Amino acid sequence: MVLAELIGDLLPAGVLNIVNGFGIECGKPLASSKRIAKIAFTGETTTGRLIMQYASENIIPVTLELGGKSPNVFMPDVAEADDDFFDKCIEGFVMFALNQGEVCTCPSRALIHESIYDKFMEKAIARTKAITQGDPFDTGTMMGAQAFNDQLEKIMSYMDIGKQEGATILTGGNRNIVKGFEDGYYFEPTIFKGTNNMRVFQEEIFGQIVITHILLMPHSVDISHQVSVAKIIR
Amino acid sequence: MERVTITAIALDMVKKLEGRYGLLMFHQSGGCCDGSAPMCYPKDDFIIGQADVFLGSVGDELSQSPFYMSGAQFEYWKHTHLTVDLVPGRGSGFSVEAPEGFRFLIRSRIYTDAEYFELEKQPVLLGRQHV
Repeated sequence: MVLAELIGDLLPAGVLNIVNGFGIECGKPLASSKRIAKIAFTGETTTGRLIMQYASENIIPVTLELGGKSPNVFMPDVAEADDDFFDKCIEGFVMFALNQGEVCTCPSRALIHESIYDKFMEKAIARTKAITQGDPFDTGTMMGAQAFNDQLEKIMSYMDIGKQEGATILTGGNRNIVKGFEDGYYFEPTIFKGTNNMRVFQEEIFGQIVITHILLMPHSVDISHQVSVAKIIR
Repeated sequence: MERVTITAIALDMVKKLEGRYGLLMFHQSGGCCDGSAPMCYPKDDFIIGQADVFLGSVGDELSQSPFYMSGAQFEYWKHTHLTVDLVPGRGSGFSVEAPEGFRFLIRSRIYTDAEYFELEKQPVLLGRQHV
């Protein structure tokens, strides 16, 4: 909306229309309108199906982007030397916390070779613990709060199910009460250690949570095929 | 053996919404953004197909809403008992409770081995087989 306020007067009338509203009263009439020539939707699977279904009434082409559980694979050669390259790999791992994890392409799952798992995680945990949360206007703050309360509640429900399934929390795992923002939806960046069949490993939590898995060769081939929430683009 | 239930506060919201939209249904979502949240729609608004699993109906003698999930997702969820709960929030999808300032949320519990053994004996109902 801020962008529209800036450029709105430069565009000819009718070129760009932004309609805010809830799905049933705004999205549904739009998705099933004869005036719409193409629909692109980013979100989750059930809504994606619903939109496709509405669009089918007028045979409107649809593009859906429905999330991911982006796996990063770290093989032994990344840790051959304690150099800048290894440091960059650790940085790549910690990108799971980018934008509080509320990005489809955040590397929310990591497969780390058994021969380097401990060495890798020692550095990764230290880097994750160095993330500072706090006042969003403070330039020293690296990570803010979740977008809204239901997102925070969902993350906490996944902490619960992850622990029940036997996943181990290596760091984080709790709501973070930030001084001056006690009601803020802050959550500690969290690293789980688990296995491929766990729900926390298969589902996109959309928070700053990464699930690590010890990669035992030659099973890696199976793992890459066992992803229920792979990047879904149609 | 029950696969899904609903809390009293969430059921109150379902009943309130039924007054506006008529009979409702749930479909468990997956994927990005608001994914992993249960979506609540007017009962005939969402086409259920053979790729969906019927987990049961939630509610009481006055209100019964069927709960579905895609079969692929069910494979990873079937060892967990689900409870539909309600929290303050603002979902971004088509789920009918969002304008109320609330969001349905799933809480999960792992079945015990004995419970899971019983569940394995139960048929898995696809699509509208249960109707």
